[in-house]
Amino acid sequence: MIRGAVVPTLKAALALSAVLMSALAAAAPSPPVDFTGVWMPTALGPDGNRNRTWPAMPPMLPAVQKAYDEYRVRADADPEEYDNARSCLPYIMPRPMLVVAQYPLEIQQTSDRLTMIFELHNDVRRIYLDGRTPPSGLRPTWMGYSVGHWEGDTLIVRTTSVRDGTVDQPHGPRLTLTERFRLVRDKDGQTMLEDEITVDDPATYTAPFTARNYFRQRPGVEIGEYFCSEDLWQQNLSGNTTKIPWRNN
Amino acid sequence: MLSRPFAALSMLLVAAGSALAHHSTANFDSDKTTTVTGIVSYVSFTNPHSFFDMDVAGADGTKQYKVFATSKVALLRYGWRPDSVKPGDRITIEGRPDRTDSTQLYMLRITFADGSVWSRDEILQ
Amino acid sequence: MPQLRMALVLALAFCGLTSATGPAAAAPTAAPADFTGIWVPAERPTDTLAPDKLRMTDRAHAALAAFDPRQHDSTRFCMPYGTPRNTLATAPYPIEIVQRPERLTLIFDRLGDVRRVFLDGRARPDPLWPTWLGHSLGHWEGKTLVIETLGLTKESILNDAGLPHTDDLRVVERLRLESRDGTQWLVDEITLTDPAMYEQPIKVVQRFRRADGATMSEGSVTCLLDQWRQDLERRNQTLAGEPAEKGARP
Repeated sequence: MIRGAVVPTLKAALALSAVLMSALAAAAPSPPVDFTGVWMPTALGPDGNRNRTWPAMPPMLPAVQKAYDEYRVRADADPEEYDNARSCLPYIMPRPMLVVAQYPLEIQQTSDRLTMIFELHNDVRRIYLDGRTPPSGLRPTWMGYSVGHWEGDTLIVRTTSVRDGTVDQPHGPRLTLTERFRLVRDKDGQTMLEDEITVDDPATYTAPFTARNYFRQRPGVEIGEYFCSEDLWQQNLSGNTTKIPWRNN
Repeated sequence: MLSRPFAALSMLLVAAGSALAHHSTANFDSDKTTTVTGIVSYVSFTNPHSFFDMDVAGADGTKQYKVFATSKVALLRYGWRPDSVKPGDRITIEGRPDRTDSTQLYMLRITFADGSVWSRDEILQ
Repeated sequence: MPQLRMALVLALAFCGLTSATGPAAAAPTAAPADFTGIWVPAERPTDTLAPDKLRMTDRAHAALAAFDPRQHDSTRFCMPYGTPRNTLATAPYPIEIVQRPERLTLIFDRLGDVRRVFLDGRARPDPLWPTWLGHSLGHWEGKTLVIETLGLTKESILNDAGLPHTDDLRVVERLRLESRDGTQWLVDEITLTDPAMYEQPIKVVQRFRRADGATMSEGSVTCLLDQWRQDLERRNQTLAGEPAEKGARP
């Protein structure tokens, strides 16, 4: 190609690409953002300061507070007995979204669904984007039932039917979580995923409150296997009878 | 022996409790550090946590130590191999002692049988 | 018209750049077949996995003779089925498939088995440590997705009867859609190769019926709750109500 043709060719290419892009956009109305990828939670917010994952919570209602205080006394007196590693049961929402380190979260976004797979406990969370309303009479689950919709570049997710109770942060069956997922830039211009979670549980707290967590994309990371009974399984295979510290064997 | 693919990442473990996911480390004394060298007798390279039993010879005989570490899935990501620690290995552990049982340690730093070292600081930037 | 051709090439390249950079929207690429949905395995293909129909090595015979489900079946410990047992032996529990152009995700109803099949042409991790689900790479041959899985731990078995395999097991699956009797089926033709245990490759076909209305359960939760109750019973303890997480809500 001769040098003189480069600029007009480039111009034509740009114009054509614009036409093609708009044609593509018209043909397939796709979501404004794709959150697909492996995301590592980080304790630093986009400003580089420590992210306040656990916010100052509003007071609990008096009866709830009393029961919770009694529970804390028991749990603090016997941390082994009250250790979640004893039961290996998974986290209850919103706790999986508020882990601050070490265990990645994978998102697979498809046209009508966001599927989240947490390395920790292999939890799977399904967020339906097809406009459905949650079925009535759902049995409460660890992950709850999540529906979402887009407002600009922000995904709004509402979660109900969450199973009763978490250790660090009590809640009741009327819990409603509203999350706002969006991509933000940190001070160095790097992309982070922000999850802003509003916790509304009038049977437990005197007012709603909001927590935030941040995640960094880790393209080179593959989610590993976390099967929580592995310590018992390995000991069974080996025939060794040493005490597993967090089990009562 | 250990690669450090994640040394450059801003992986931050703010509180030991959070880092361990759900096994509280409150019982380990964060003001004290104990260093012991001994022979590994049992390895549980597992989830939800890993631990090693090791026999440590001292003035008053041989004592068995129990060393707590984080989960297998995380250690593999930090460059560990399934056979990084094997029964019979002579290793050195630097760790936080349990407040009531000084033979239980939470691992901060390990010198493997081949002399290479892994430190939790590498992921604590 | 070389300029025009170049302009076209560049235009397409710009489109690619635009969609590849930053938080761009998912570019929907038409896959040869879409397996997305919930599928119920039709049956357990026990016949083809009967030991008398397999040419087992001495090592395999010995392993099978020593098999004790109480000690050697991972699922008794709320550990996963593993690949390919999750596909061969979990009927009638459903599996859910989430498909993207570069990835297929298979979520098994039981015990938290989640399989990732990478379609993006990536290389295998080196080293590839044995795992329960293995490392799966896939590519399309027409409308059939061909998946090769390696890195499967010898701690898993092929079926409930305890058919053994080594860490060297190679699983090749040919996954395709089939319409029959007004129903859509997912057909998985599986070839298992493990010369240390089986003198010839084992070929098994598993069929799944489309059941998008089916409900997926909470993975390993049921098993873990049972395990937890047994642990409490052993220690002669009870908790008021079910433990959500230990201690639960006051």
